Amino acid sequence: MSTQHNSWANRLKILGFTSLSFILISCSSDSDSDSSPPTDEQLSWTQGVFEAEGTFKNFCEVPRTDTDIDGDPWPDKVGSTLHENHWLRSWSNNTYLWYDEIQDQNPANFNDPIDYFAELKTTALTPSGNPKDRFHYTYDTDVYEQLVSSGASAGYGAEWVLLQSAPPRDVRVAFTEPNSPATTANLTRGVKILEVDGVDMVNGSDVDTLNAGLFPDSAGESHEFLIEESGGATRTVTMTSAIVTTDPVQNEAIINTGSGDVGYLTFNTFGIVDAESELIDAFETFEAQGISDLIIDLRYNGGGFLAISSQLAYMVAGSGATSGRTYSQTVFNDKHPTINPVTGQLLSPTPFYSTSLGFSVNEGQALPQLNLSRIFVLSDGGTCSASEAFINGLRGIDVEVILIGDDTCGKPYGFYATDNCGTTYFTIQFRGENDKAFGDYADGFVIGGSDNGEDVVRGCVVADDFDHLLGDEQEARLAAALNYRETGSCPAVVTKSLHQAPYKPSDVYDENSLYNSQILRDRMFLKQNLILTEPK
Amino acid sequence: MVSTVLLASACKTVDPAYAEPAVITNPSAETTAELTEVVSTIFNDRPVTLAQDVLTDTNILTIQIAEHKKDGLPVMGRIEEMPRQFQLLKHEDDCYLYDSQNDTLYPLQTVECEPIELP
Repeated sequence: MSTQHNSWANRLKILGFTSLSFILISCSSDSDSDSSPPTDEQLSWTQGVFEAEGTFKNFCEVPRTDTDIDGDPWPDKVGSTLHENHWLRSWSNNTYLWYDEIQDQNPANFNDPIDYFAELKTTALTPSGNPKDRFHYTYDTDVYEQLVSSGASAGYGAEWVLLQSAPPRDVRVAFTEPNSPATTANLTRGVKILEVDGVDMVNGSDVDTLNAGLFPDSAGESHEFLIEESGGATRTVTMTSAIVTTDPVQNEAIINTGSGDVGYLTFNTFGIVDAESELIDAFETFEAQGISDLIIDLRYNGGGFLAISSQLAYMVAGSGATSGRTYSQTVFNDKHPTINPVTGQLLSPTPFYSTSLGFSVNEGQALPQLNLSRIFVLSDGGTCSASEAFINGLRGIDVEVILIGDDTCGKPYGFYATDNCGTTYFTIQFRGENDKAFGDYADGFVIGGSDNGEDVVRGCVVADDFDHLLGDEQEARLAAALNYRETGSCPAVVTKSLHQAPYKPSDVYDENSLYNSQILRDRMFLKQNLILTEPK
Repeated sequence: MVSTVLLASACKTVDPAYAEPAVITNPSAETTAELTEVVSTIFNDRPVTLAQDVLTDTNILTIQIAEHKKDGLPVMGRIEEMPRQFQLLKHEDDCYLYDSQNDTLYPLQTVECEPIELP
């Protein structure tokens, strides 16, 4: 028997299959940390002087004695909080995208590595006044490493969206998954939640009960909901949570118009392997029909596999426009211009993939291609990461992208989840750039009346419409896209549905704001991904 | 695939090259529980959640780290790696989960399966 590890894989936890070695968790092993403990001199702090991160790696206040996800003993050694802080400091200095914007603080002044990590980021603001780094996270490694079959999770199959966090609160169903408890209960987009297990969702204060009902931990939990249908009728439903599999591509349709057929699909995540096969199926239909335009609904698509977003861009633009072009180039900080500092591999651009890659379709099959020179994207603050890479990748090869909805989230960045001593850290390590070397959209792609070739994109600001199903030609954003296609103009009356306010920490929210609940903030789809000022 | 794999729980050898891709024909809570236990074992007893219909339409089982969200958005929104995949194989009357990374076949006791044609 053999286990296929290549040279760099020895530094990384492998969660890959057979002929290809892929990483999921960066988790340096003994090979990149010194076996001898750091000296007192190395543990002293001199501002602006940094030891190699390997000097401190895996020296832990509480070393783990069990084994990692591959069955190997954790590489932890007896150390201290100070060792862990020094590792964070050196690792951030080496790999953080804006390492030179970190204020160098003495690690000995912090008693908790997580508190110290929170300081190890830029405090700069974007041109719009938002924090430049909004994506700086930690998880307990045991929590982070929970495994699922692709797309599976415990729940009802309803995506909740929080339209208003402070009383009177407004929580709606954004969409549902087929064959789920939510569809069995006839929950549809736009349904408003009035009560959960007898607790008033609109004005109540028992957030724990609301949490428990909205986000069951496992299958088999029953909770009662009082809901309000579109039109105002109310009814009580009891749903029992189940293991639900997300269906990434929904509502595929061909819309016949007087000026040609238009393809439409709702695409909610790049992060499930079935997305590859479902997109190919949809595009084969579009190709066979000879559609003249395509509308892709990415308003709730927070990203996922970059390679699938590349495939999608190829299927839109075709081989002529994409051959030899860069879909996304990974750019690390200026210490690492040519070598990925995490994998040790030579940096090379992600191409526009023209074949299946084995996610859910056998590797190497030619993808359909529509050869379109423009595409309509229905967007919102939930359009993030790999979804934005899709927009940026197409714009890099001069495929016109027209945005209908609202500005995207602004995450041209990525990181490698990195464990040290039982905590998995996420610090921004790279930026993705398109064929024109553009990747500077920290405020998202902003909808404007014209296109600046970078982060301002032509389109229409149109509020999300919870009175119509996704894919309904009367749904405001889809209707606006169809109208724009015909007339080149936006709907007469459009305003931003919610004001996007600067981020503020959770401890300054109103007492009854649902934002005070970390679980709700994390798991509920917020209208726009940024934390909003509570509507009054 | 040329290696012959000695099964952990059976005193016989099976060459994966002579096993056929297959799908489950008797999906149930029992088969899901067995698959969950096998996959959890492969990942050193990490908790694993499987959908009830895994390996019923395809012979490939894909295992990923669960999606985590912050502020309503996936933490890992730009995944540059492939997930790990396993295959359901049938040899004679027996069904196996095959881990190609470790070149190991795991015999399944409760699962019934039938071969499928791959495109």
